[in-house]
Amino acid sequence: MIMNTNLLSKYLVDSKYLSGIIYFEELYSTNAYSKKIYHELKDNTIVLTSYQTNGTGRFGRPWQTNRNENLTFSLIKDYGLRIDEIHLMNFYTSYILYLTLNETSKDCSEHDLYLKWPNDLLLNRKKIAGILLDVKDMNSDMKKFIIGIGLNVNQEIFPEDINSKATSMKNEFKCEFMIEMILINFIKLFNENLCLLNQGDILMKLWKSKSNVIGKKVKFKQLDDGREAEVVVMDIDNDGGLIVSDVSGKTCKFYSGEISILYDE
Amino acid sequence: MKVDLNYIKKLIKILDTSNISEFEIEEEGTRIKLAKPRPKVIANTAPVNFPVYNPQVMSESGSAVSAAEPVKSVIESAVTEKSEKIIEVKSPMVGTFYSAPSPDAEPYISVGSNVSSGTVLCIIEAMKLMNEIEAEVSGKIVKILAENAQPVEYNQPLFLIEKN
Repeated sequence: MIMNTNLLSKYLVDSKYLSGIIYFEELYSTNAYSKKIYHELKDNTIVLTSYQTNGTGRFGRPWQTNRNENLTFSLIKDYGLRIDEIHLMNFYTSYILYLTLNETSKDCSEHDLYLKWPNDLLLNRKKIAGILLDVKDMNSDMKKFIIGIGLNVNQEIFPEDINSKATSMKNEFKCEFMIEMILINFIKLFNENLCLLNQGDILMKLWKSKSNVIGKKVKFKQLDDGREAEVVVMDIDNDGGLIVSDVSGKTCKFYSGEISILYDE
Repeated sequence: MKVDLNYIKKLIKILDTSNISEFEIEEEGTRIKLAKPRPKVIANTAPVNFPVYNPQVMSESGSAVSAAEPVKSVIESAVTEKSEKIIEVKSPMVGTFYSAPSPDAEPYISVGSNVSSGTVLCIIEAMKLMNEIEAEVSGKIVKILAENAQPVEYNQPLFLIEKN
């Protein structure tokens, strides 16, 4: 089913939550497209597609989705944050996505839904959403954020290589979801909680309360050389950094890299 | 005249404590010329060194040497370049430096590229935010100081731009 843009427009544009919706039945990447025409994109615009053909995560990693089954969009947000506060947009977005899932599925509490540093969403230990942000206009007070979100909604079959790591709402909650309603919920929650961006310490506290990583043994992978190490997560700092302790008890803080939780099984 | 280090050091000391800005001495076919930089320039060079102390003077005994002039001009130009023409672009955050928008894409800029205010120079990734670092001045890239996909620290110099 293609996206019901009339419904989205009625709930999101008429009510002034969004200034516009740019919809493509098929598009290579909503973030890449937004970056290309970002001068023309007003604050609170979304670029939405039912089929992203060339979506990427960090540095070229493919984000594959089936046609019409998932939510893939970019939200354009102009917001005044200092450079040392920019990371808050990342924690804010993933926190709002967490709230959106909670609101959308009433039996969410019966499942393990957690935030994973820096901004992934895990449902029953599998990745259900990915977020990637591009930041423009770094030199001005008002930064332009291109917030790219991919949420697996109704996709049932995943490629073999990611099948054990990825899942969808349908696979876990055992029912079909209306993609438009999830987007409407997200945009509303995003707009209604914006004041959290000006209260970084509260936001970080809320975020940490929805994350299960503190105190856990994780595998930490450095992006630059692919080095992996087993570490214990001590805390997530208010500046967003991941504080870990290695086998010798030495602590250090990371801003790049990736963790995967090691479950005792 | 036998050119000897202590002799030149003494001459430099005399010149330095005097009000004379330059002098020349010739003896047995060896000519030594010493000069002080203009006071304005001295003020800009933090440690006041003796610009004429040049080992070449010693090795070229017997021939006329005039080391002072070129050394002085080098120092003068270095001072102006550093303070006025060459702009250092520093990393505004801790993260990973990327020279191109994706692994198979062309780098944003390379040495010799002309940039203007707002030109994207690189990306610093931190916590899955891809932060586009922009030039603040117009000019030419003279040096790239960071390596692709390597971690960078806060305030670490990334590029040198020669201002137009």
